[in-house]
Amino acid sequence: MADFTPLPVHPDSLSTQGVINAGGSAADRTAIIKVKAPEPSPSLTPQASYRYLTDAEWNEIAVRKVLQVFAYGGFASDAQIQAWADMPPVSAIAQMLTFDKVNLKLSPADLYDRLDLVDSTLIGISRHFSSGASRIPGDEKTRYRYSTLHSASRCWYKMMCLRGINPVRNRIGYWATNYHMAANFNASVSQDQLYDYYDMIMNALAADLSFDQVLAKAAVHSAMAVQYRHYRYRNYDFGNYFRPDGSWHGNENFGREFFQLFFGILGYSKAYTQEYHEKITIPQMARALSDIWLTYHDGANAGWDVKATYGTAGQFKGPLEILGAAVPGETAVDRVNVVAPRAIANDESLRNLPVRIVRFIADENMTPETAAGLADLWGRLPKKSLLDFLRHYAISTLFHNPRRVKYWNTIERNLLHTNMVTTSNYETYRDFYRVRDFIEAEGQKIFSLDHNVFGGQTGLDAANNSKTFKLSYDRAIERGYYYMRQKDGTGWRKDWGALVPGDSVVATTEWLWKRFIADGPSKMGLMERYHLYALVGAGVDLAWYVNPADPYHVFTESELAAGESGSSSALGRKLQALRNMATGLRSTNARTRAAANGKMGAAIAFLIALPQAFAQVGQ
Amino acid sequence: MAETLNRRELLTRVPPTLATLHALAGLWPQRALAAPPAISGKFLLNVHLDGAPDMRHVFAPKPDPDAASPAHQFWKARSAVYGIGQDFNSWTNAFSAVYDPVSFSGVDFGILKEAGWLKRQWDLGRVAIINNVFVSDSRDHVFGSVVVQTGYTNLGGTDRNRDGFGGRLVKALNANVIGFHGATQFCYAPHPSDPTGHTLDRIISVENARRMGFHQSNGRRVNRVDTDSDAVVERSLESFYRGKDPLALHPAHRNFPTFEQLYRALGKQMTDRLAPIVTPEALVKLAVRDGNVRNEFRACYESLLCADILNLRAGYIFYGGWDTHDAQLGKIKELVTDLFGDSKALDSLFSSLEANHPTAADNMTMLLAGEFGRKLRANEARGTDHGIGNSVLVIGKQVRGGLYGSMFPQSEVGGGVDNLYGYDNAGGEIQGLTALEHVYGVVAEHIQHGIGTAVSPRMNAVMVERGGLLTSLFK
Repeated sequence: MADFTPLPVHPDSLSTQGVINAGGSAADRTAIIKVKAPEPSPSLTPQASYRYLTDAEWNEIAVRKVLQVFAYGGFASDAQIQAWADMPPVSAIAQMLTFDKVNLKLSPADLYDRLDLVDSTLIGISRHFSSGASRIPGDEKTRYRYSTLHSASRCWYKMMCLRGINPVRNRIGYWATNYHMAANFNASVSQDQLYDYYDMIMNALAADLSFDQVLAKAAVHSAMAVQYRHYRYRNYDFGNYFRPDGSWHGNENFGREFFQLFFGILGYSKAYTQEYHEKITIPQMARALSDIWLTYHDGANAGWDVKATYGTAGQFKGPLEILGAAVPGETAVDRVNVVAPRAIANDESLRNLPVRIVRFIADENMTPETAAGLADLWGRLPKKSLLDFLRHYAISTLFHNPRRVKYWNTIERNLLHTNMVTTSNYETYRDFYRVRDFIEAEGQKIFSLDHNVFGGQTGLDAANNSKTFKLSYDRAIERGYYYMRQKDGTGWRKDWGALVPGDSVVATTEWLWKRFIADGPSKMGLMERYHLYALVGAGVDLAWYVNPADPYHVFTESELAAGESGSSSALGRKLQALRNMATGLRSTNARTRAAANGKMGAAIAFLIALPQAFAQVGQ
Repeated sequence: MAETLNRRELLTRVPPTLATLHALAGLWPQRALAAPPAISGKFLLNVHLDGAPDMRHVFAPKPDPDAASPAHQFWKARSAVYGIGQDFNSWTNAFSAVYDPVSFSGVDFGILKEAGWLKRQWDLGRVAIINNVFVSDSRDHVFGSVVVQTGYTNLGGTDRNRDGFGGRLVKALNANVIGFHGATQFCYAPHPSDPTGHTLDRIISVENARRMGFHQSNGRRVNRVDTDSDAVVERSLESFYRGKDPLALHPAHRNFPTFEQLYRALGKQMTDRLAPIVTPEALVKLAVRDGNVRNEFRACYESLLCADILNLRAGYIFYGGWDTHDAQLGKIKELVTDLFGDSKALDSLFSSLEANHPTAADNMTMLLAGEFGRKLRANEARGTDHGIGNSVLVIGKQVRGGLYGSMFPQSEVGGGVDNLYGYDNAGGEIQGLTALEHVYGVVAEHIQHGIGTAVSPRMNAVMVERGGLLTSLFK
């Protein structure tokens, strides 16, 4: 895979490229423009200030942070992660972030099932999982069948946790269909439509179409027509169309959200007023979206068409005016294809669209400076390629800075932790770690969206909700034994020893910290460290280990610091003993190894309920 | 420190340091009472009508044959919503079929028949309809939702991290706000140093009041100390969270020790309090379409029984689904039924409180608002698209019922296409004449005299439809 050349940055000024006058005569616009609407932004324009990481700054932790955000950890080996860390960031990122179905460096094939040889589109994986050729247990295969209710979500969760399939592709598919171009089962979008919608978007992104082309395809898809209810159906009286007498019949819902949600355009452009946006662009966009037909099919596979058809009889005859320019076309597709490239070049979209993308994917603590930097970066892309944008972003100080916070939503956090605890596809097929159950126990489901067209649960929603925390905390106690499983009666054995860097408790704990938290050992406090040492090394809690007669003792950082520095004290001796322990993960004794793997599980149960497991902070 | 602060202050006002964590364990008394004590002060229940409800579907004018009347224009512009013709008889028939007629100060209008409880409250003089309220002119649900929850109508487009109305209210009351739908922005408290930020100090999320305690290991449940794996993980986490100074964590991670502390401090007391109390069937089996709504109203009732434990003075309920653009009346009828209908959500909550905890019913003020209004005219899909002004409801025994602000302004008639707030303009909208800050400030002032401007700083500086509009909102 070829490297890419990072774009230059101008740290002291925003890009002015791409700001368009949306066209149309001034007289036309002023005819309906009464007052220039105030812009809803601070009076001082923040300055873009960012750069790309140097080779020295790009290290193992930087790689791990990228993998957590863009691949929910991914499945790359430690050696591969180190290899990426040793490369120039532009070379590494081109290998790490791809939208192809397979990325063997990031998600190596597992000989158990060779999913790299399978069509891992959503619909393709459904066919595979439900077939005799898959490793899905026989009595579960029907749950993954295309026609089975909830099969799309089951397939997606499973796919995200399996080696051989590119997790970046499906992480972005999740963002695209659950946030940016949200399609919601609860709004009557059918599963058939969702399968097609998801794969259409991801195939378009994998083909590296300009993002406006991807958005245009999504906008006229049946899933959006149902989501926003602008489709025609016989004489049913909803949907957008013109009657033969030329009268308009429809609503403006997607006429507005097409701009707002897809492109980040709310009407605060330099080229026209908000009044113009409200009175001309939105109503006329609704008309551009007219005469999208869906037919309902009765019978065994009852449901709306997956592939919409685009009529001409119910379309407005002649050009419409949208974003200040004439929009000719015979069908909705024609019109959208004219509007989309203009929309993505619109000044407001250039400012807002990259922020919308990054806010959902990677940064919920967006500062005005970051927003300005993102606009600068996006504006410089000669082609608005989402992949190119994300690659640039992921090796820039826009991503790698301590102000960036990615709060994990329920789906993300559970997938990340499951991927980090899973060491083979066998474990995923056996569903040892119950990721779907855990997610649904927290009240979340992919494709069933808390905020409807505005997307699913955000990371901030989750982080601010004490109930979400409580459920995770409770689960560590109640279901922590899932992570402690060492064997299953078929000959399978958990083998952390094959992955950890040695047999030392200290090295193993630091490795766990990097794997699950994507942070350096220096960011590990003494309390995190010694609680983990006790679990990994002794298999009991720290208080019990130090003094079984005082099992509810509450250690503090200062107490541990004093103990660590005073090795002659009772506590000091205990702490030193912990530091000197071996895990037993590489013992020649099978029982010792099994017990050591169980201790690792207890440590993981503890680790994923720590505060640091709920949000990733940039560095 | 522990002796000079009350328990709740210790939990909410002071950064949860080691000292306070340790102190809490000894200071928190058990209060499992057979019957809950009377609620200590006025309580605000905020019901967020998410999705920008068209309140003119809920309250419609009685048809008027006079073509120059707002009522006539309303029915002419919205006959499609009702699937009827453009004639006066059709309008009259539809009005009779869909609405229960009421009259107030010469304004004849109807309340949607599905809103049986609301109509009864109106008849009892407990419903204030504040008209032409301005929340946001962005017509953007996400931004509008931020504004309606914060109560700042002058927010910038990227200014989305501010404190909420409920958070400011309980800060002024030195109390707490409960998020029955999680900790939404309404509940965010002001940040002590960052005016663009917030804290979560005063929020308690209660989605199941009877399960506020942490899961216990098998051993602990029977007072056995062992090294079973669940007990080992349990003690490790408890020791870590009790011992960790949150200030040693990155700010993004500090919520979680606070949550842990909160559940540990409150869980057992609430469980003990509620254990002998039977929640009324009306709430347990509340028949509404959305199970989350049932849970929220049930949690609200049960939390009010623990108001002293929680130091509870405000609550937030999310009631979404109003963002519709087609075949709208049917959908709104469903939403109105579940919220305002006889034996439905508000009725069940209010009647259960009146029967079992009357001081809570007496002291409760309900505030219901959405993020913006809708267009004056219906679209051709039998719905209405995004607009600006809308009506806000304030309901309670201490409310002086009636209409506040012109319900169907004469200014909406005539003026041609130049009248942006008139029926003649295809995109005409309800004009926002009273800023939300004023409404919020007046409500806060009612909850406790003297805090209005602290909670809604611009309450007296923003536009109000006419002077003294809300002076008599409360008895």
